[in-house]
Amino acid sequence: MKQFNRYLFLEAKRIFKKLPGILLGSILLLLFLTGSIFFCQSVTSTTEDEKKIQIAIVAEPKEPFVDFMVSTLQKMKNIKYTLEFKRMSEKEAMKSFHQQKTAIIFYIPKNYIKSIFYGENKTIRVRFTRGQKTIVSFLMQQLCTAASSYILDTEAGIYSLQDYYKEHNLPAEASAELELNLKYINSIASLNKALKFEKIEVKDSYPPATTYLLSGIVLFLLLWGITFGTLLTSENIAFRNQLSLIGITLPKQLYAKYIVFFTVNLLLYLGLFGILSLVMGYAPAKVFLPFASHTDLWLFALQFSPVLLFSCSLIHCIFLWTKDALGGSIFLFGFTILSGLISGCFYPFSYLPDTLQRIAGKLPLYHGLHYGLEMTKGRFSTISFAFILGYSICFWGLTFLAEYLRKEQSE
Amino acid sequence: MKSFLTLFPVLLKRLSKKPLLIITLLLIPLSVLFLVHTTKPEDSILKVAIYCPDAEQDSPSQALTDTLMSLSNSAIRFYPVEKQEMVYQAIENQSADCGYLIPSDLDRNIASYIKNGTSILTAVHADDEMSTKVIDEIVLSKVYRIFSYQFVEHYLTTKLDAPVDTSSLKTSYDKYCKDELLFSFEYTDGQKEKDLSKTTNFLLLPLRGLLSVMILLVCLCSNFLWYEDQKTGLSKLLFPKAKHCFSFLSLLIPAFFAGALGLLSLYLSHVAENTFSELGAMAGLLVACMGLSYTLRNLLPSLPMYLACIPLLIVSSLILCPVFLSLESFFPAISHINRIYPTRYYLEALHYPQSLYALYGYGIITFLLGYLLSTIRNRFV
Repeated sequence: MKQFNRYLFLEAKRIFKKLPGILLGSILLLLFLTGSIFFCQSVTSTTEDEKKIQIAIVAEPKEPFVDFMVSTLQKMKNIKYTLEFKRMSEKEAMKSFHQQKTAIIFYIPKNYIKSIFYGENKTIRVRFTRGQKTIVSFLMQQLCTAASSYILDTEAGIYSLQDYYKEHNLPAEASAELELNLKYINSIASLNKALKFEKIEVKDSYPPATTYLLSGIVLFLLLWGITFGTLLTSENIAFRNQLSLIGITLPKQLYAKYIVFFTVNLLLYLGLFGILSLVMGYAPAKVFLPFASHTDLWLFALQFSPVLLFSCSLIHCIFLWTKDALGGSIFLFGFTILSGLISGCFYPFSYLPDTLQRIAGKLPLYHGLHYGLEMTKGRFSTISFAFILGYSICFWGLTFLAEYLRKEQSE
Repeated sequence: MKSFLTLFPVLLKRLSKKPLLIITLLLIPLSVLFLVHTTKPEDSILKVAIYCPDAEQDSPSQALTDTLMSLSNSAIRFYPVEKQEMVYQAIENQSADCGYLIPSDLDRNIASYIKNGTSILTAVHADDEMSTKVIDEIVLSKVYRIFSYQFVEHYLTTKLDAPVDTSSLKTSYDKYCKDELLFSFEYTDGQKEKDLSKTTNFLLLPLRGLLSVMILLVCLCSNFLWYEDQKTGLSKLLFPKAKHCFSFLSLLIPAFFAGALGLLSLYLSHVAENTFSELGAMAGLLVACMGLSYTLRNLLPSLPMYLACIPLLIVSSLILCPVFLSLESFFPAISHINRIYPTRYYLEALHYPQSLYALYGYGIITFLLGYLLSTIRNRFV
């Protein structure tokens, strides 16, 4: 026991020598990043309007009805708190787009309203992305399809009125047309009243902000393992054999390494929750943090620690199995991202295809996330806990197997 | 040139002795193929349950139900349920995101809405999310066809204060009804965007961003070997006159391999666009990632400090750059912070020329900075 303790101390000394740099550097960088975001956010966002997504409408200055359309869109209940429509010139719109103040630009073609009266449907160009598509792009396309239906069916109504007036030789067609146009626009703006809403409680639903926070913590704990690649893969075979000769067998050596590694990660884990505790006081952070008080936060940290156990086992296994810091880091990243994608860390779980949902139910990341989410509701998920513990034991077993095989080979 | 030809096979051989790196990088295109093939045609992001009580085959209610079913795509899938309770159950157990109860006498409800403002149909929601609001608009836009006709009929009846010749009005209305998309989508450079809702697998949407972060990680991790070389002094001993070439190739070879497999993954997943644009953007990304990696290793001679940067750079790239979601719209401050990441410029480089130039500029500046730091270190250390 005494020799084991001495070895444990040596192992701790080896890793802890590098620890201040790693730990301090990470916490400082994390604080710097978080602080920068909050600072820039408080300086940049000053008005309620600036928090809305800005949409620019570009049309010819003499294009009729555009101002009316813009003010009508502004009044629509579904969008008035999230979107802001502004009429601009093309130059102003592109400048604002480059400065990322405007998210989307609608280009109304020349003589658009006139073309509608003549039955010609010109296309409205939508410029809304500088980068790659996201799910928002999909939904935007669906919204534009809906808008096309409103425009075309309104036109059908107007044209059928025109035909009716002509067929029956009725007077004042122009004023009737204008009046009907305005009534149509008002009816579209208030069409959500046509729906009667019923809200129901969903079983096992979690706020998206909490899901993303916990996903972030789980992913960070795993990706943090990249830092330890060089430390875990270095070994002295002669020293290892010497240790075996004096009674510190291979399992004890691995056990000592694991304890030290877990302790280091625990310090980081506590540092992470320390930072969360600091930002809890700021109003914008309260959106993300589902904890009423600091006590709740630290209690959660204690209850969530099995996930830390699992992440340490996995990282330990990868690097001790491969003995390759470079390859192990890339493998850890790939494994984490792919598992995270399938487990609902990046997109809501319900969005995933059925096949992937079934696979996710077997993955440790899914259970790690699910375990934490249940904790935020004050529930203990036995199945998820069993999975996390089971995977931790499996990875530890694999680590031992790898070292044992390596020892056999060297002998 | 001679140094390059000498060092290239040496470093390539050294990389080949890291089988896990090569296997992992090879697994990327395989993982992409796996994700492509796990999505069936009936899978979609949002699922909507529709209940319509037994209505006549040609009734407006049935027509609306059929129209909604036909709209199903990879973004939204409408599916019918046999009982009203099944809509609520589906939403409760999250097999549907929302549901709609269509009345059997839809046209009477619409007429009543026009006259008295009473609701036409019922929307069952769990949360007030943007996605369910979008689905509301889609459903209403399909109801709107019937509504529009009844609206003009009601207008004429009120205006003329006399019965309306409904048959000629309906014939005329049906004649003008069309199904067309009046909007076209384009990127900043005016290039048209492909149809979004067709077979594109949404799981592959963040692929480009993920690959760029992976390449950054490969470049950062390739410095492990450089730190090892610095510690042992082996490279100085064996190639004293070729240290810059050695330094450059130690970054280039793993980055190039990762970039090539990344491009292959983009093509396998059908996310790739114009070949020249893709090659130009990928080359820019490699230059930027190598430059950042080169600067960091010269800025941080201590391995622990360097190691501390890696997970933070990687995780913050994933969150702050628009890999999964563009947070800039909600937190404008992020657009200032994410300027330090090559991923941000790469994601825009295909269709926003300024970002492509910025990407190359970023790479050149970081390389120059790294070279300056290296010179200072060699002179004073």
